[in-house]
Amino acid sequence: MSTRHVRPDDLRAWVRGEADAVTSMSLEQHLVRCPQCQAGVAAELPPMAYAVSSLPDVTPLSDAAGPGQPEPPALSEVPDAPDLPDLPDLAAVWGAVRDEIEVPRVSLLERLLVRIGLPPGDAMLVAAAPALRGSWICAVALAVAFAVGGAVAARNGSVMVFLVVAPIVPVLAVATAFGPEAGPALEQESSTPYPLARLLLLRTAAVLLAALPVVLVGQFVFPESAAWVWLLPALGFTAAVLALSTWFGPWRPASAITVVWVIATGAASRLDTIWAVFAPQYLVLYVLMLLIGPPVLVLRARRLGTIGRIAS
Amino acid sequence: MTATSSTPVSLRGVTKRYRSLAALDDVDLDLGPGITGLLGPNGAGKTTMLRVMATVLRPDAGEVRLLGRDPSRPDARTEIRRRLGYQPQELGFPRGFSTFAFVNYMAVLKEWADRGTRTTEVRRVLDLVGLGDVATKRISRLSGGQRRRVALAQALLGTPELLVLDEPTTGLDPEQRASLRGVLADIAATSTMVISTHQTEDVAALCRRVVVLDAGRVHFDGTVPQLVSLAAGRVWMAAAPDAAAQASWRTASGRYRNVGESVPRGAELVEPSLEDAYLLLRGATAAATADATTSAEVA
Repeated sequence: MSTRHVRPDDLRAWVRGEADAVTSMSLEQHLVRCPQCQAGVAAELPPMAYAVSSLPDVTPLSDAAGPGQPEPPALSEVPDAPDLPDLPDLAAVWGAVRDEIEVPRVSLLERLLVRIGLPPGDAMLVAAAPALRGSWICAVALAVAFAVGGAVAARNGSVMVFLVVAPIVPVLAVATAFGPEAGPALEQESSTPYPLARLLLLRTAAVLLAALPVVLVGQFVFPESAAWVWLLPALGFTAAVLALSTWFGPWRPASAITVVWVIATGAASRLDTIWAVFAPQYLVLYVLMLLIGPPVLVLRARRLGTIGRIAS
Repeated sequence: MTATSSTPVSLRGVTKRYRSLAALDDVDLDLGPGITGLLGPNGAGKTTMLRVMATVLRPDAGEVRLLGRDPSRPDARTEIRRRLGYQPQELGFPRGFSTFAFVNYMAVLKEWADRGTRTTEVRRVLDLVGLGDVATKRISRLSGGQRRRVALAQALLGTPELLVLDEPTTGLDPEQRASLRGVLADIAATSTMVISTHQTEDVAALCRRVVVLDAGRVHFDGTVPQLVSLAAGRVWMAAAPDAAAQASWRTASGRYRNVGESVPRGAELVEPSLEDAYLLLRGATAAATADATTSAEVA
């Protein structure tokens, strides 16, 4: 909507390389999208002497030969002009310059995701979300802390705190990644044809995958079971949060699961041992959550067309 | 307007409640091509109605058809969304995104898979809303008006057949508003556009049709001249405010503009504007609501 153009003096200075850095940046930002000023650049460029000098000498002809003047030669008698070097397509040049300036670079994470088989569009959606990047870093840092802390705690015999907290960390990370604060564009995203359940699952998988290598390293370095036993409830709870988020948004289920888990582990410790919550019958429960959650998410999201509740 | 299977927007008995509050109360509405303006006070149900039209909110009751399809069916909803552009009222952008990066991100969600054509389309819509110069700037560093135009740019991707815009001109300066009106008018020549706004001058300048909502119900549905005609013979300029007027305010000339049934002493009858008519309608609605409340309390 802007109708301003670069002043001729500034344009001339830029062509000659005499404009300062700030002026140049501002001017280039405008130039790449203004054909009128691009034409001004062409006018300021020195004449292409190399091309002109390579042309053959010709005798100027009048538009129509008058009486007594020689007839112009037939076209077939005119010698072929020598081949001129191919000149660049200026529109393509400006387009490339604009690409360089405007199009965001493909991030390392995006390249990695494409390399492991994700379509480029999906990779961009997963990698480009800053909320995920924040959660990603958080998940990795916390996973490292808990894996190492768990192993150390197990050696010291005081594993309870770790086992209470570790399973709910991914749950809270996922809730943070998709809550209203971290997903402020949800309303705009919800009106697009892209399946939001797919987006959520991709990002959740990315967050969880970030933690796995660290856990495996922890398992390798510290072979105590505390380094990995929290993973199954963590996955089950995360799946449950995703499914329940289609009714209540991510934060309410995450909070409820956190409270129930803390009470359950506290009660188990008081009555017997915290390892009771990892008994086979409970492990089956976590597996069921893991198996049921994602399909519920997909089916519910498909039926509703939105994830969670758009604020009233 | 009589609804047909090709009517772009059709609402029948649509109701949406937030606890005891009816944001939409048994609304019937059919919208055709061109621009329709939604007017109404805060809390009238405008945003709820636009969210229903944008397929991001399901009504509690009633039937919705958009572009001839039923958005409650998943496949139909996806097809509607392919032909829909939506600018919400509350703008949210992921942190750290540049203007170009965000619109590019939305373009991927809108199935622009090819990088080259996507880039061209993103540039087109950014230029259309006058943001080409700030394409590389972070959204967090843009002004409020520029952010609103970022949201509008993503809504315009692919030149959708149905455009749902919630307060698109809020925060824009007069020059930007005038320019944006031109852009929207051009787009509306080939699409159906619904605009919610508090700016009656936008409605007067842009809209073929105007719908006034209040308390979740449609209180007026007609053309702009029809709405203006409601205030004919009821707008007076006087030296003093009229206590009996439904609305009265001091103008730049120092005289008072009085809108209502009563004739102030020494007043001069003037041509009504859309704003006069809207205020008159609002006053009548408020009075009717107060009467209804009083009757209910007495009963």
